Amino acid sequence: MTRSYYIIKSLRDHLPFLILAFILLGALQTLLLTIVTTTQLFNFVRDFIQQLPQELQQFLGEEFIAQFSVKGAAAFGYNHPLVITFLIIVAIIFPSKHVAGEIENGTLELIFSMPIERFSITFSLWIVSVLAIFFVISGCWLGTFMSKLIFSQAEILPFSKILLIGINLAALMVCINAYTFLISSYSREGSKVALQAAGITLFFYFLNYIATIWSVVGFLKPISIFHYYQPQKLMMGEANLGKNLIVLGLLTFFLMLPTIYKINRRDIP
Amino acid sequence: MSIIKVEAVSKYYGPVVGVTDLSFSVEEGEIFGFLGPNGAGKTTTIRLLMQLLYPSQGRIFLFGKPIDRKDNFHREKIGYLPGEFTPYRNMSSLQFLNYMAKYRSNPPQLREQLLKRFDYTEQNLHQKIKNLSHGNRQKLGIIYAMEHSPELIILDEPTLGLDPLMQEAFYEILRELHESGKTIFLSSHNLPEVEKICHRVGIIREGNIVTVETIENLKKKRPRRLILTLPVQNSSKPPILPGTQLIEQAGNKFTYLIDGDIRSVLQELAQISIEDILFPEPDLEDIFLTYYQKNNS
Repeated sequence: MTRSYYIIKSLRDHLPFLILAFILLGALQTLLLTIVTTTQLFNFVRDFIQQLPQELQQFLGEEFIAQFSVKGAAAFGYNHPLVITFLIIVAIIFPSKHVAGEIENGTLELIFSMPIERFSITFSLWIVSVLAIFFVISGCWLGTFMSKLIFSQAEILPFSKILLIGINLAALMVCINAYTFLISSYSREGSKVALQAAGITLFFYFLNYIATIWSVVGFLKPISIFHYYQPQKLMMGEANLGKNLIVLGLLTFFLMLPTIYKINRRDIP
Repeated sequence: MSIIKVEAVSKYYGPVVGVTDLSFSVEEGEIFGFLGPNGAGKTTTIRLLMQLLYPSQGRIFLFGKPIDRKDNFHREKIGYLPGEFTPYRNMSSLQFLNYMAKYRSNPPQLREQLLKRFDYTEQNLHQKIKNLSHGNRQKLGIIYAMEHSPELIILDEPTLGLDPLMQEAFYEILRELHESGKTIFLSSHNLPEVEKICHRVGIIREGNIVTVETIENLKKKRPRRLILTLPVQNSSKPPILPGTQLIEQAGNKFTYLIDGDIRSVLQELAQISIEDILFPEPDLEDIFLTYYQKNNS
């Protein structure tokens, strides 16, 4: 069902970027926790915010203040724009480059003229994407773990929670990866697919943001895939990870079905 | 046995017609040329054979079995060179050949021999593909298509970019593969090339098969042209040559289409004063003209 040589080749194609993301995001987690642990930032920010007008305090919200605690900073580390951006790139790059991109430059024609099923290539590429996403997230896990070791935060910072946040993040990225696959299966230009997928992701992100800060459109929240990833709430035990995983998992499944069908039946021009 | 059998196949890209009602067969062990100008539908037909495109109508049989979307059993026995061969640019030739060989169960038994025959050096093998010349890239494509000694070799414009020496080496390899029982299907827009190496030829134009002929028949039926240049002082009137048709006159240069016995033309030419005489190779348009005239009549 899978082609190991295809998986190895595809991973190798992006290895420098994946290693860079692994190191950079891992270092970011360590750095965030180091800052919070060594500077007593939580108390300083709490005191500062208490000086602000009541309306502004409400606007900033409790989550903002909480992220200056050790637990909050650890959760924020998995929601940092840099982390999200790098992971979105990883989620988008594989299907856009290796489906539409390879149709565009002619290499998929060579692969699909081989005695193999198209499904085995699609499935292998999906496996590659999932492995790459988990590889980069494992960099974050390593960064948090290093910080835990350095600052002996075993009691304050439960690593099991960090693992669950990482799994939820991976599910979100696999879902982004799935709609990129679907767009790619209908397209023949890799760069166009990447732009379209990035545009959809940005739309979901802002929809979730606006629905969070503006209660009038709060009912729109469940439409955004980012609603099913709340690291701060997961850290505090206020979110339902099972529900998040089921929604994102089902979405991925129903996006991958038409993708496989389309790639199996499409003409390779 | 027919190795390839195409039955009333049409391919439409929305309102655009790729090929229409295509029917022909290729027998085991023959070299079949697929001749047509650019945009005639040669590549579309080849992609249909390789299941990269799926027919809008009709059926294709390979090795005696109909092919459909699920089947890929026959591809193990096929070597394929696309019209635009674009391998992975960041691999070396050797990495590319080794990587693609993993998809096949047949070992690359002819690789060493082909590398030698095409003067593909050790340096070329380790050079990144993006740094290869067009000719070397085309050689790599031919080696890739043939190295596993497939029963059916499908080549789309294989000599594009090859220098004349390498073209000769390529023709020689094709003849040897044919002698060892391989079936070869190659497309070209070059009539002399097809005449040189093929046994039969299918001529395609605007998505339709014009004719399928043996090379002997094609040679017999193809029109001959004669371009005669007379000394300026004798060029006021075109000479009347038996069994010919004057099709063009430009100054002292006269172009005839020979449709009769060439010997009587030569006898007549011996009687007149000539500055220059040419018998050019007929081009594809001449061939199409012959068959259209025949079809219309």
